[in-house]
Amino acid sequence: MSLLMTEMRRALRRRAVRTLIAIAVVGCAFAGVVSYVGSAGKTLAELRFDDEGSPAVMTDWWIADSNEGFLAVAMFFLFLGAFFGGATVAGGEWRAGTVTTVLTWEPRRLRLHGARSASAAILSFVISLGLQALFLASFLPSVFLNGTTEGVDGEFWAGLAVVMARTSAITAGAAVLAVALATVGRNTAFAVITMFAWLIVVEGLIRGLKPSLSRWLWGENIGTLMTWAQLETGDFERGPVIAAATLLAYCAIIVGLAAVSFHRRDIAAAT
Amino acid sequence: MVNVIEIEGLRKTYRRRSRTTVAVDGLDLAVPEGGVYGFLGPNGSGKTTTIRCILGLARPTNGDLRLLGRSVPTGLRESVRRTGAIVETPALFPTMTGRENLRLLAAVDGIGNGRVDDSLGVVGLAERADDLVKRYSLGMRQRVALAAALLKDPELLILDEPANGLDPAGMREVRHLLRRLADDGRTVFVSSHILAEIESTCDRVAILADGRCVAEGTVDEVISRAGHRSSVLVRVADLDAGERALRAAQLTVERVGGALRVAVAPDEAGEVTRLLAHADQWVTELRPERFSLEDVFLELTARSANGDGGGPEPSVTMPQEVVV
Repeated sequence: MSLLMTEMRRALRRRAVRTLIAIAVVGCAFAGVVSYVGSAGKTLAELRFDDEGSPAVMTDWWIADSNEGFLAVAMFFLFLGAFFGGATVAGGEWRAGTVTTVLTWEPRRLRLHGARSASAAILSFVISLGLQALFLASFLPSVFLNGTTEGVDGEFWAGLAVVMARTSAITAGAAVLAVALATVGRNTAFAVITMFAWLIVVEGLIRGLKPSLSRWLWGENIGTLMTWAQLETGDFERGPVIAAATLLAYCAIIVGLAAVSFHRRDIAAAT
Repeated sequence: MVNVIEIEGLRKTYRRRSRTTVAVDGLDLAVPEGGVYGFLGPNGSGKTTTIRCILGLARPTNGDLRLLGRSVPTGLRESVRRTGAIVETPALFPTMTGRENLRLLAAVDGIGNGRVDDSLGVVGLAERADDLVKRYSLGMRQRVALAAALLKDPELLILDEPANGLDPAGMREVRHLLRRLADDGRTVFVSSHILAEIESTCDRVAILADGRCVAEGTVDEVISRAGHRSSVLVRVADLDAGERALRAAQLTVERVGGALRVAVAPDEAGEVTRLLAHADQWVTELRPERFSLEDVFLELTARSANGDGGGPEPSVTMPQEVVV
């Protein structure tokens, strides 16, 4: 437990992590201002029937069984932020050589790797939850002063809470994945380049050349998991449970590889 | 005597592309409990690799290691609890203060903040402890690393070049600190290339060259076993007469410039003056001539590099190949 707490404290002291959180907070404030200004002077009918929806209409925050709603915007950035944050926490330790320092205190490498991964998961889950709440809270002035809460009931709040928790779980997975990749490559850049090369180049090629294999891609599975709705294309169908299991299996394989790599390889000087 | 570090047949090779580099080549070493043990060698001789293997940071290709009586790596957790270590350049968290760095490390082992303050005081960093580490000089980082090594109140300290980056005053403080820690009953295993520091601080030394131990023992043993015997240099008005008088007493004498080198221990110099006075030769200068560890170090490591010396040694004696 003390190792986990230590890892969490250290991750929170990383400049990159603090910068990412600060950018997210500023982004939330900016979104709130834009929402307020954009909804000012409009009638409820104009807000309600706006094609793109309005954050001043609370029910537009998240539309169940779809990936639409203003929270979907936050999800994308949270995923990116969690991945970059996780990669920089693990990669920075290798670059600074602090892995050596920590191992002279806790030589059980698997335990250390486990604590680091768990700390990344817990922190990104909590930070993601907090930032989603802040993002939505920034719309409250426009909702109360310019918009409406009509249609908001217990079911809406429950659905919103579930999707926020699910988004946080996905960002936690992204952070753990980033820690694993940065541990294998022993730097931040390896994790970031590998992930984005895979998501953009490799998955793009597979989608174009072998659409039937798309059911196994990260992008499709993450999308299915976020909306928690059946994904149906001309080539395949994907349910949210299968999507979650697929993503968990991918994460488990990569985390396992990282653990083996960290356990077996020599710890060299700072890179 | 109990050995705190035992190394048998340690071999460590690295493969890069198709090349294999031997960093440590069949090293045997036993570091006894107590005192300061100097681990010497030129750059690339395998000192840091050996320390990394001892601490479980690198996997030996062959060989057995025991740290504080426990096998490495299986018993490492228990022995690391009782060992403070600095490996190469101190790696600290730059965006934290010195005190925060120590508190975070201390938290791993459940060590309280009081101990952190004590350690900072011991290394003389209490006043700057709340500055960010990224603003520290290398010497100050070295002090924080030393403080971190002391946090566990360790039985054994393994310090890789602890005087790196320190100014002369800082080096002297570290030297005194190491001596004080050893006098408290701890064992200090210190690698260094600052031989004057080692010579004046260490009880025993091992010299590494090309991954092999080429000499081991107390500083005096290493110097004398390398063939450098103590002598005195003496000047008299008539060197020929003086030389004859000393040779007549079966002493080994040779001329060095305008003086005579007499192979006797400095505390036997009185006998030299007596013999010379007896032959009516009055001493105008007499001084002990002592070989330094540096002389021996340079000689042994140069021989090893030339391939005419060295090799693993089984005990505290100089390997036969290197005895002059």
